[in-house]
Amino acid sequence: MINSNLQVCTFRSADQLFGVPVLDVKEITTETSYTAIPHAPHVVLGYVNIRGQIILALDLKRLMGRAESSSSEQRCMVIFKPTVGPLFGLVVDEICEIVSLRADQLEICQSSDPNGPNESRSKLVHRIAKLDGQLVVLLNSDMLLPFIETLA
Amino acid sequence: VLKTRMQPVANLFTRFPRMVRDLARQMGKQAEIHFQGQEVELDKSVLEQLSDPLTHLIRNSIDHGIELPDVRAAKGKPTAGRIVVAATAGDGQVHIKIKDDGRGLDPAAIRAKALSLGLKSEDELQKLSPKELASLILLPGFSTAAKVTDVSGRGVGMDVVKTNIERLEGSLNIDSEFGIGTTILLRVPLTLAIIPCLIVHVGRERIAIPQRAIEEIVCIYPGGDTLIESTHNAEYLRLRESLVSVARMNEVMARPKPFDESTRAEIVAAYAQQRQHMENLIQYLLVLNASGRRYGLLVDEVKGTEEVVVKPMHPSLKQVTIFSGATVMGDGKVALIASAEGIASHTGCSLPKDVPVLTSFRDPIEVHRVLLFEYGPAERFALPLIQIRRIEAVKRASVEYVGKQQFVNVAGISTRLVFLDELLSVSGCDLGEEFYLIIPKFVVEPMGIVASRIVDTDSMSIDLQEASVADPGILGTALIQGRLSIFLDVQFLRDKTFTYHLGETLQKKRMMSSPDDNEEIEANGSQKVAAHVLLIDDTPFFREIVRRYLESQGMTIVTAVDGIDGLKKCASENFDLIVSDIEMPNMNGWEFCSAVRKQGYEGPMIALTSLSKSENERQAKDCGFDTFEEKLDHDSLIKTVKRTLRSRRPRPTGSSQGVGR
Repeated sequence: MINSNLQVCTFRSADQLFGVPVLDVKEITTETSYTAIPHAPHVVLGYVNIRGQIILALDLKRLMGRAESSSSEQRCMVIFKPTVGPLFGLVVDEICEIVSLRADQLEICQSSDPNGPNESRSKLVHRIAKLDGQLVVLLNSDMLLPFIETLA
Repeated sequence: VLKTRMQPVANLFTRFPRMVRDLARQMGKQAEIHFQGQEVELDKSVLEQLSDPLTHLIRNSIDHGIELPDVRAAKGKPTAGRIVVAATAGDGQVHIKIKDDGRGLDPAAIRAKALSLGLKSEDELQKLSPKELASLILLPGFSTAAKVTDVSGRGVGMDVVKTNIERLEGSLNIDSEFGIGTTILLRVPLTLAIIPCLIVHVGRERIAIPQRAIEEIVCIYPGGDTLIESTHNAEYLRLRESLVSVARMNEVMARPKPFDESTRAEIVAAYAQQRQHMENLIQYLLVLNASGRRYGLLVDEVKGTEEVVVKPMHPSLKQVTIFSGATVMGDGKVALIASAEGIASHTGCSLPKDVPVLTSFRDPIEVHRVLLFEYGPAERFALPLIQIRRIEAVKRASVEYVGKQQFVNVAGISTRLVFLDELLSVSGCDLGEEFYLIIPKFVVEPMGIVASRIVDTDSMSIDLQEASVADPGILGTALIQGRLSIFLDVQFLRDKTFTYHLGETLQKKRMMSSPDDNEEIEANGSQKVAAHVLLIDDTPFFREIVRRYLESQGMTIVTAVDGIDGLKKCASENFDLIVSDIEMPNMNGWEFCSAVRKQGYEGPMIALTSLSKSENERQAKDCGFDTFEEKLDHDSLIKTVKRTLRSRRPRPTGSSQGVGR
């Protein structure tokens, strides 16, 4: 049942494990050659052509305010379903497995996170899951696009 | 092509009234439908794909939205439900609003349904905003209708509507207030059309520019005659007779903030330095037209044209205004489509179309074409082309003699030959078998200046040096093509040549004078007029000529070099007459005239110009000039000056000076 176990697609970015509900994900692709968009916020990598559709690629690392790594590594993009937002994806370092999380593994993330970044950015993360010694930061995929709209 | 594809939304709306009537009757409801913005146009293919979703939404409104007449009456609503379908166009999109005054979406029913389907937990549902709650009905299998009818309520519908709209690159928004009504807003792009674009490169980026925005392309290369000039905070290209302000696409892309004064100054400074080092740089300037305003966009390379399928920009990138969309190119990469309007407002550097090259951008001195010719071996002579009617090649044999005077038949008129060495202290000449005759303009008597050789014509700014030899027939000298050239006073030559019989004919004419003749005599004659005249002209050459014209009539002349100088002189002295050029730097004749009239000058004013008379006569009058004269037409000018002075005489300008100020 959906309510008891949450299927989460996990991925790694800057040595941190992140996850989004698997139902939010449309597809995962390795096609990440993008066209930069001048004037767009820093977190926007650019446009990527996925089978004739133009997808807006966001960089998870930049979203989380992490320093940029060398771009040499193979990166992937998680593309979200249109129900989450129109034609966009999240570029991550590495895709990990799909895990099933029980409700008792989840913890609501308080926005008063001491080393949490600014207020609007903390809305991106709403839950944290404990997974055999590792923490998975569950992203609020609905909030990604509204967040970049707040960046002037 | 695009025009024919565009169709008014009315074509789509026409089928709905009947549908509404039929459905309402079937369900025992009363409903009316109203349309707004029927003239809004959409691409035919978009229109076709809108048909099903719209039909569905209107059907929903009647079935779920509008209540039965007695329920409505109980709620205090008019018994007939009202559906309004309104279309509006703006920024490349069309918005279609479907609004009904029915019962609206019931949040409680949606929550219950969501819970029963196991979509969300109760907690989650409580947190949802009304908008988010409303958007749940877009999920497949979601229907809150208590019973399924054959019209709607089967739960297939809204999700299909949404998918259809999204397929059109559009979006759907629900706004509902329980008990009051529902509004659904559809946003669809104007067109899915393929538009022809010019593909250009800026740095490493590839950009498509819609061809309808492009007026022309100018190649800018070192040594070419189209170069970018700059003021302290703007760059311009002089394109034929107008100025085009220049925006550099690389700078536009690099600076996300709209340009202000300091940004522009920064850019100009950066490139002013760079210009010297970029000897071999070839660039292209696209002259763009953004709704009537135009400017030039500087790009590195022009690749060619391509038909591209326009996709709108991502809705979350509203701050990006310099691009209007994106497209997938043949190599699978995405290219951005520039927005001519967006770039114009970002840089703020567009100019209204056809801004003429202002005088202040010109060299302060007018450029004229002059004819260079020789007579004797020692000197070179010059005459502005504007003073010359024609040049005639003459055979020595065709010269006829009348006493000491020599004539040549030019176009049926016996033309008197003027030999420069007879009138001026210049070297003589043995003419060959063939020589040239320069026939001046603005001289009534048929005369031609004899030249042994025509050297050249040259465009130059006439920067006249006062003649070192005080010869009355010489206006001055100037260095042209490395040689000292003598500017002739045509009027002097004419007076000298015709002086003896002039005396005789004048006498005769005076005997039987009619008023009209009288004027003519005065113009030619030596009747002196005492008047104090301000003469304004920026070109030393013309200033000198006109000064001589007027001085020969006994007037005292004060000269000024432009309108500002003229205003100053006007403030410190009183003049009986002002004669002013029109095209001048700093302050032109029109501005000067308006200003000096405001300053309180009431005397006559004459505009002098090399412009054509008819076009500017009105403007001259409007500004406050009394008349308008061609610059070098000696006789006409003198006549006008005298007539103007005389007509003002009744108001004694001399004595009014004390009273007036």
